[in-house]
Amino acid sequence: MISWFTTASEAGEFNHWVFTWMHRPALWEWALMALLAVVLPVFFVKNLQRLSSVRWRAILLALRLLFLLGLILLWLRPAVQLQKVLYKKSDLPVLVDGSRSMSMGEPGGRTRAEQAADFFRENDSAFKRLSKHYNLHAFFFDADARGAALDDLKAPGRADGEFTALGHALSESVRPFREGDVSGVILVSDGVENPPDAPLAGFEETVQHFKKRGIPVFAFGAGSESGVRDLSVQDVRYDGFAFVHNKTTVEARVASRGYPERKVQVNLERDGRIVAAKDIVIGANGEATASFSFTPDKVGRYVYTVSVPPSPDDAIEANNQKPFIVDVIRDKIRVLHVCGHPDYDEQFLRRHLKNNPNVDLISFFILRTVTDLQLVRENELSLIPFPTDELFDKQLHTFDLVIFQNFTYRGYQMSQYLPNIRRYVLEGGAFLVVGGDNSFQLGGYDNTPIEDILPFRLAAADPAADAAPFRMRVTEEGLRHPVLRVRPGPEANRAAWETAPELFGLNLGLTPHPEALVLAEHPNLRIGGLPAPVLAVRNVGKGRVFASAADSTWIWHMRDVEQGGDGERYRVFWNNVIRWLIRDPELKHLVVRADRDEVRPGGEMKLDIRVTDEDFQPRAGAELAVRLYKEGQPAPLLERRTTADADGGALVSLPVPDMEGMLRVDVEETGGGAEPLRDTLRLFAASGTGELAEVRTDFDRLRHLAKETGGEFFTLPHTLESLPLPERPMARVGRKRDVPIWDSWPMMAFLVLPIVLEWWFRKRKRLN
Amino acid sequence: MPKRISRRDFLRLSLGGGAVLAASWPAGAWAFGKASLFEMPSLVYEGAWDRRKNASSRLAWELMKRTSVEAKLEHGAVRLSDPDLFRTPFLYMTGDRDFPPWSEPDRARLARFLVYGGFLFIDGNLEGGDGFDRSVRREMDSLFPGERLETLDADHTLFKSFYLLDGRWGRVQRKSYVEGIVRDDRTPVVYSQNDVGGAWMRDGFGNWLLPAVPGGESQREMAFRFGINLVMYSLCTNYKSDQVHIPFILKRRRR
Repeated sequence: MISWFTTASEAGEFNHWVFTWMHRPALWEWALMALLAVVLPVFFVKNLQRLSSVRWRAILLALRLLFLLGLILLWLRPAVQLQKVLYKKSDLPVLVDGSRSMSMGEPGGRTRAEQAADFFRENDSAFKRLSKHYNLHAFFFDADARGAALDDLKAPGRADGEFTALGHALSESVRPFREGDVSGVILVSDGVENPPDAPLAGFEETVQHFKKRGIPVFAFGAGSESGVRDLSVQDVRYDGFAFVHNKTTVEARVASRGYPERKVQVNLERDGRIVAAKDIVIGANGEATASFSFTPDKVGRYVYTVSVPPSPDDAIEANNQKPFIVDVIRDKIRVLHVCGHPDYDEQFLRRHLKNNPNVDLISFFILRTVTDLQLVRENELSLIPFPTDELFDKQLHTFDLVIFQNFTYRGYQMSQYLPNIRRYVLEGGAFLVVGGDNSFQLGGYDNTPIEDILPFRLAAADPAADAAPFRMRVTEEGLRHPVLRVRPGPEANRAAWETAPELFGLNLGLTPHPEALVLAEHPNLRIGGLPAPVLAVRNVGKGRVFASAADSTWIWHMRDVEQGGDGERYRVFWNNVIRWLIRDPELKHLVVRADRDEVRPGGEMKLDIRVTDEDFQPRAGAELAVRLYKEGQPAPLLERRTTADADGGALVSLPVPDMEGMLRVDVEETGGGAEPLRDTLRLFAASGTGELAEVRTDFDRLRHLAKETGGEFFTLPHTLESLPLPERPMARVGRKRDVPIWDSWPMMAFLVLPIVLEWWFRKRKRLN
Repeated sequence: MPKRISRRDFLRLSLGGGAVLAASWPAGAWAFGKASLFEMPSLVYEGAWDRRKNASSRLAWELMKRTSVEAKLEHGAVRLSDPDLFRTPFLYMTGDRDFPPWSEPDRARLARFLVYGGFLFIDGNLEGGDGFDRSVRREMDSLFPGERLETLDADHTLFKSFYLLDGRWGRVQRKSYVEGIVRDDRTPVVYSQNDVGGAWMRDGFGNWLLPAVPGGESQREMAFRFGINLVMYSLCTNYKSDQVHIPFILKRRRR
């Protein structure tokens, strides 16, 4: 048949034909055809009623209808479509879990990986049968899917993957194939999911995707749901930092698999030395939590380990311990806050300090002076003595920060302690003075050791203060200083201060000390030709001093709250003041951070380095040397050189040496002068036990996967006799050609013949 | 009840005891203007908000006389919609009868004010019935859903912020307790039903306007002490609960 329509040169090129129409009528054409098909037969019938012979009436009507049909065919232009049809087998990915959990030994002496290999070997003929109908694509997978030959699956894989990303591997296995070409997926796994941190397709996301695409997953569970005996530290909950000499708590979740209820000793170790130990009782196949409290005695970064002693039949010893890093930092910031009299500024600053968990606050509010009348007994008042000797002599060195807020020393026999405060600052202490009617020269501090350390020089002024509201103007130096950095980005920060609520009340008679840096000043008032200072800082000896000539910063908080905020400007400002005063390490000029505390041997660590100048502005172009050490070793394992970009930042990737233990990264600014900037970071290299943390299989996950996608779940060993896979070889039209038949002689004859016959019959039989 | 003071005690307190904490140097003239002074404006609402009009001023005068707090002697009044609401973190609300519900925007403003640092003292004079009490509880329920006015126990900082007190003092002694909304470590709302402000009021000649019953003048003195404690609590919050104060306060309470 095909040969009727093909030329000699096309012989064998087409293997299929279909009838088709070359003209696709529009709606109006269909309507017209329908109308003719109704009207014309009626007309024919009526026209033929003149004939007396019913037989001839029927014959002539049939000839006319035949003519009408021929006309319609001519309109639709019938044709034969010659096709070259290609037949293709559909795809069937076969995935085998290659993660470390597959190396787990099972009762019977076979590992899960060996069970998987047995399955492919024992079902070799079944897979050969499958390969006649499907293209089988073999993969091993862990965090990713890697192509393999089908025969490779008959031998146990390496089972050394540190992660298992089932969802991601399934997605990757079908990705190369066209939509609809995949008949299903065969998956052999223990079902244990342990994805890496990287953003990969999630398991449930993949399940829903397969369900939508109609790809059934036939899952074969390797391993057993019970039988393995193992004790493991599943999880450790801890804070990344602890205060030295302060109690801190660590909680470890320990799991027991395959054992009956038993008592287990859990140890907390630092540098191989047991810091604390706890006995816990774990039920059969259960879990229990051991809680440790310990008090770090030294500042630094330490590796702690929670461990449980292994039993002789423990399946995996590697998961019997879990290391973690704790930064032991200085004790809480100890702050002495002395207030001249209660007012809102003192109330809000005290609340701010009190709400800071890192602050150990000692407050003294002067609630009464001798000018205040009290004719009551002492035991009717809650007032306490002001222990000046204790605070400003014996205990002064124990404070990280001393705050005088609108406080005068006069009246408390404190003159002899003022030199102590000066010495305290020179030796590294932090001192904060907030203005008011008892501050600066109004508090009698002019010509005292306190004036020596203030950022202001004090002089009598008349008036002593200005009460008019004003919006403080932040200096250029102030905008660059970390104290006034209340919004991210210079422009946002500048805008934040330009729109800050107005303050009211300012101490006058203050001029900046030559060593001071004025951060903010009055927009209009001038003292000695210079703008009246509002905020200023000064480095004094080893210590730092901050002074505010205003006593109304609390209004920043309440006005912000009024506008729907939560007082962020006030909170960040005072946090910055305190952090700068106590030399918070976070305010260093060179800071190196890593993307994670724990790195994998043989992996990679990513470092983020930031460099700023004395004014905390980005130091673009700074030359940096990055050195990686094994902790305790003097020689670096490797060194990299880099240059800070326009933002003072540099991103550096370093290979992690193939070893476990503490690593140290030193970053140094080279060519930075006599005292180059430096920063140090400590990291812990560990291969981790993520894959081996849990010995149990997760067949429920595989069951869920199979059920949701329309597949089936089986446990190994399994004889693959029939797999309910849809056998659907895919047919696809490769080439096609339409051959018209409407313009042929037979078609013309078919059209003309009824008319000729009617004419001939009428003539011959005299049918009129 | 306060004990009578002897001449010896007077001299000791004036000359010796004052050195315990008090400064011997008077504070300088107040140069920072009135904006920095403590103020206790009355809360204006649709109702009998102004029946204790000069009570704040009388308390402020006692506050200046007895403590180191620098206060305005003339106090204004604010509405919840007033921009100055957030300029004066202490609000004084009085009343003696029920009042219509506040609008939702007003409630939202007051809730923000109180949550983020403001303080509200509600002073009820319930001699005319409990309509004011019902209205106050309705508004508190709206301001702090799920939280209730609760009785402040004797250990609350309010009762030791300056004087050592219990909580029942006012012009009348209708209730033997004071209530409050307690949120974490702060009590932003304190509610008394004992007409505390009524005990503070004087006329232009210095005469007490209303009698303190049943305790007379000693009861009035305790009402002032309670008012001073309120101000001290609003300014120092839980200062008197700091560890450094506890042994002293316990010792004095035992006496």
